[in-house]
Amino acid sequence: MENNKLIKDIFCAREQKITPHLGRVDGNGEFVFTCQGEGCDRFVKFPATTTEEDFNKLLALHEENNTGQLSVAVQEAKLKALLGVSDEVKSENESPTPPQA
Amino acid sequence: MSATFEWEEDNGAAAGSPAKGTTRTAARTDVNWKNIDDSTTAYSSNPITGGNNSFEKWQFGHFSGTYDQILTGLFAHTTTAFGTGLTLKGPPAGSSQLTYTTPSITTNSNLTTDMTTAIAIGSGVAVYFGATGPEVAGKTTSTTANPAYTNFLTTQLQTTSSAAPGDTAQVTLTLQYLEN
Repeated sequence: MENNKLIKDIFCAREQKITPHLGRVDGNGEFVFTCQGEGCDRFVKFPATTTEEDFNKLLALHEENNTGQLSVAVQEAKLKALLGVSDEVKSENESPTPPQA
Repeated sequence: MSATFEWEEDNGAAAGSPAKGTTRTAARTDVNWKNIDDSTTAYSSNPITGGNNSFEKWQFGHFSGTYDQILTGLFAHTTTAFGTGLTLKGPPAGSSQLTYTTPSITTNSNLTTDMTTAIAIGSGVAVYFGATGPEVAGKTTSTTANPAYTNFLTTQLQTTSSAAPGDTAQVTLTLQYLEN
């Protein structure tokens, strides 16, 4: 099958938005959809017995149940931005400029 | 005086009506996702093969001691990130309460909450309480019963072949509640 036909828009809990997910069948016959968002490797699995009707219901439940999660990492990054805190660490070996004679 | 809390876990074939595990073990201090359905075997003896899932962990809370009321429960993964290829699924949000089924490594599609990301506890799923075990439906958001139990707070670690070998990071799952 061509990969571009196996793309499904699914809600990504990490991204907190709908993103394209690439579908495949894993070694256990289960359906695995992996988020194609930049830098995101999150996935959603469905059992091998999933019917088309189940699938649509489960997708809706997945979005409903996971919308609005407040990620600790995202909030910590926001806090740093609010406070203007930089992640750069100055070298402890830096010598101060000596006074001019 | 205050409430005494402990985690407990059901394992084994679903038995009885309403269904619960054949084995119920008290005083659990960890939730090790592994390739065996029990609460005592070391996870290192039964590692999950990359691409497979863990057996579900059917854990719940048990309250005793002295209190008037237990209420406003929330459950979430609150610290430390999982690595690539790992997804933690947990109990559904809303008022739906899980019915015990014999644990397996098949993806449990009733676990609709994605708990992979560490989130603020305020974003956690609501927890329900009642006088009888987690297997009994109809629990509510507060209880004056003593002892009291939560609904099943079931989790399953699902993996793909991208998961790195070895131990996962040690994460924290939090059950927060109010008591008065």
